[in-house]
Amino acid sequence: MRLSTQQFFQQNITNMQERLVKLNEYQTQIASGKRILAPSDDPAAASRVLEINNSINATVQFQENAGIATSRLEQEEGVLSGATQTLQRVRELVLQGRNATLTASDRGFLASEVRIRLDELLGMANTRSSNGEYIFAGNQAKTQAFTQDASGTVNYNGDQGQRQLQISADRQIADGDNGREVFVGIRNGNGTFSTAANNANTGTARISAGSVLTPGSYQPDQFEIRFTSGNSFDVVNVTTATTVAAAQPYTDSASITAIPGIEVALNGAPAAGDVFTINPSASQSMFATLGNIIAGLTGNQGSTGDNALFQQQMDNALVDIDQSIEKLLEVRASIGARLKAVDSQIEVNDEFQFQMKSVRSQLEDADLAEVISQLTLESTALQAVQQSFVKTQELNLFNFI
Amino acid sequence: MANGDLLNISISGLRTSQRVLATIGHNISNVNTDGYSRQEAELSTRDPQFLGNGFLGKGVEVVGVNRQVDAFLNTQVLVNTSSSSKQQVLFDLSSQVDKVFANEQTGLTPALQSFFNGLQELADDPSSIPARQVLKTEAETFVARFHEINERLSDLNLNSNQRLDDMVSEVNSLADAIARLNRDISQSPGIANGIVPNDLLDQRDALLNDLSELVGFTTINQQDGAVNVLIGNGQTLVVGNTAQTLATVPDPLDSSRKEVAFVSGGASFVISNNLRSGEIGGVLDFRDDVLDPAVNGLGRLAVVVGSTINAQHRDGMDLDGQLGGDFFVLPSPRVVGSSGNTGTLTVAYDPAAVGNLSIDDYQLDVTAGNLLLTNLSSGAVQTLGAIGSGPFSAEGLIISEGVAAVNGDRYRLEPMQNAARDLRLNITDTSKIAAAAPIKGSAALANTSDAVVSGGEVLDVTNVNLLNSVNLVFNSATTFQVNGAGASIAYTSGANIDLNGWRVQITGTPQNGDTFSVQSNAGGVGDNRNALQLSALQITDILENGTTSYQGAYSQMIAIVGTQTRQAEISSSALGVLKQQSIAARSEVSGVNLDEEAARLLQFQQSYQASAQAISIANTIFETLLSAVR
Repeated sequence: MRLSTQQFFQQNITNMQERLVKLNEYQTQIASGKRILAPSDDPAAASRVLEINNSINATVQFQENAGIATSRLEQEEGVLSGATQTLQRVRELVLQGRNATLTASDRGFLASEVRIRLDELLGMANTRSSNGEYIFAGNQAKTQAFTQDASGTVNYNGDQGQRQLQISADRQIADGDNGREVFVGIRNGNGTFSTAANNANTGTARISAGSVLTPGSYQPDQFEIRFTSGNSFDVVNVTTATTVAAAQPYTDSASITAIPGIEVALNGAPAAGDVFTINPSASQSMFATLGNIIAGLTGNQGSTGDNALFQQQMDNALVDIDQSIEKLLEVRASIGARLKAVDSQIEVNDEFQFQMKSVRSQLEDADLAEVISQLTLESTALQAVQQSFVKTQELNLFNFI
Repeated sequence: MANGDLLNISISGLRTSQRVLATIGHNISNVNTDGYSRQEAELSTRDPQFLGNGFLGKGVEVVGVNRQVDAFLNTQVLVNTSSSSKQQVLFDLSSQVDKVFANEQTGLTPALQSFFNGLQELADDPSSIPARQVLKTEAETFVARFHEINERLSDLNLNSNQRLDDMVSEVNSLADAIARLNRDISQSPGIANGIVPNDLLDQRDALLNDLSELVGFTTINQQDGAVNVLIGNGQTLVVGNTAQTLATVPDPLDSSRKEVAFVSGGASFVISNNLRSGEIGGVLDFRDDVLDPAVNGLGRLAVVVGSTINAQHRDGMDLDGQLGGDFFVLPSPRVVGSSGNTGTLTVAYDPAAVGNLSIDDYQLDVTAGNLLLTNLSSGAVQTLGAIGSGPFSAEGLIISEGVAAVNGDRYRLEPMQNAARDLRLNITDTSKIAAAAPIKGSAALANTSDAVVSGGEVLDVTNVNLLNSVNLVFNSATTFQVNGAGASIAYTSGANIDLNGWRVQITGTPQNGDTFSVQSNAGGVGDNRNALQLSALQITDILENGTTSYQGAYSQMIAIVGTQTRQAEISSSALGVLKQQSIAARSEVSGVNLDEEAARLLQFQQSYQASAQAISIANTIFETLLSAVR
């Protein structure tokens, strides 16, 4: 075999260039810490890395959303915790107020505190978030959630929307509750029906909140217990205009079960013509409940009927306030559950991010130890080529002629 | 007489040695000349003289100077050079696309992600003007990124055109030079007797070598020493001492791309499809196999993103309580008709079938009264229907005739070619971003049951009654009426109730008299339902007939370009090695080795010295004779 001189030089140059290219590649890998410098280095891994980056970035956004959800839910929880305290204070005031020994001015003091508490509650219900949204206005976020009209009635101006935030690819969580749900949509009475004494009653009898015995048999109609004398009454279904039970004997504090499915009890001495109504529970806002209390505390006093009515109002107020407090506790429990869910989702997201990053690192990161040893190997090889080239090119017959 | 013989014989030795030494000198001088083939003087004894009792030798002579070549090895070098330089060009160009697509700064992925993050931020804070501004800016960046990448790709197309121009003119000048050498060789004095001008042949081989880098060809040797060069499908680039020319011509249906044509007798015909090796082949392959799919893939993504985001955005309600408009301005498909067409054609993307859009180009022919659509990548032909029976839906496109087509009409459809370039943002006023759903459902406060109504979703945003308030009033526990009148509709908890283009569900146990209303969500500025729907599009499988997401489709493009680049790189280095090996094999035969030449130099220096010594001895003999006579 012959080797042409030109080929000899060319071959050596090519060899050295190839080594140099390799060296450069290793050096770039070390400098960037990455194995994949262009997708063509490993197309499958490169496109996978892109998708992983996408997942990681999306998760970063989910974490941000989760953070926002947490802070909003915490704000709401703070407000509702305050509202609970307010209602509990009002409950104490009602308990104080129903004491029959209080004078009119004592009740007046209590009424004015309840008024302050009502304003306080209204202020809470109109809480705004840091970016100016009414947090209890549903989706009508820029509309003041509750306004009080001239007659003192508090109206809800929001809607029933509830905003969901995306906290993972397939999970959304509500970042709040609308005011209709929290403050307005509270069932009065015992939740199924409410009882009341007629304003015109003259006896001392009061009706209890009652309870449901068999939920299936209760017909949500309007019923009335009408006393025909101090010890006899009729039970009438006003809706259907039928008498359910006629001429029932009255016993103080005895349970009356004439209305199918429920029981109520009366205590005290009714007078002939006294009427007690039993209505299906309706929605009653906390503000209306507080308004009723104020009305009760500032109502007429003196006559037997007035006192009985006052006592009845206070009884009903206690039931309604308990319903309100229960509603707040229910919403707060739901907020707590959501906060917990967000927390655990944040952990899941963190874990996911960590896993994705380690997969990405396996895909695209250079194994430095290996690359450095290859770099060393390659630079040794380059040196060897250079030295052997210098040596062999000296071997020329012309040097000896 | 004997003395004269010795003198003559020695002189022949001297002269021959000189000739050989000159040849060696020629070799040494050309040791670094590209394409030079080592030459060797062929020696032979002169015809002897018959002396009656035997033959007397008369010395030596040079009978020829031969070029050391192996025609087979030379051909190998040409073929391998063509293949290797094609892959080299393919790799160089592909890796540019490769880098444009995947770069963390310039690629589409980060912009796509930021756009959808912007949508999420909007969902977090739908009433916030800053969040809306951020989304608008991210959308602008997203659109700009489409434009930038498309710009880089169209630069590569321009660059390919420019390269074709340059290479074609280089091919022409090489062909010209080869033809001139053919003439010189065929006219050289000894050619009739088979004596060839070695150095001219070397020069011509070097030119053929240069030509092989540009384009693949075959050669046919002629009797008179000329070679004919055939390219493409047998087009004669060089015949004897005349050269034909190539030219670049714009594609008649797409003037943005140039094709290579063979010019013959004043007419030219495109031979691009037959030029698939050499650098020209590399550029053409790059354009067809890498660049076009990349441009179309990017364009398709622009169309699909634009179309699906628009559709969802129109289903929403903006801050002012208006139904959402278009978020993006959609591009329109590129259609070019032949100059001889009678009919006209309009093509639009089918918003109901964006998943069917492909990245292929099509040709539409009107033949025998029918419109035929040919996929130019797969060659698949489908009959759309008879003339006038349109509009036709095919491949995610709606094709409709304007002026009725006639047989022979032809169109090129490149639906995605300009899409990435033409996508624009429509939203200018951030309050026009529709983050909310247009309707809301609510249960009346007076309801005695706890039954709830869903917020409602839009089925048909074009329904004129969509935003009208509707009350669903229960006239018994199991039936309800629309607005408290008309037929009683049976109630099933959780069942879909579709009306006026919307859909709601009522769940629970409603009581007689319960009322649920569905009405316009105007003022619902805190509503993010449509923003959530928009951001959900990111992970929805839409493209490729609903099998992959936006990012999935883009990743596929990157994987395809990456694989093509990788293949070109591997082929390029493998064929580079083959080329080097064939060059080494040729140089084993034709190359000059200085050691060898030095040895030969010494060898013929010695024979020269010996011949000179013989002359001196002949002289001495002659002197001896003279002194004997004197």
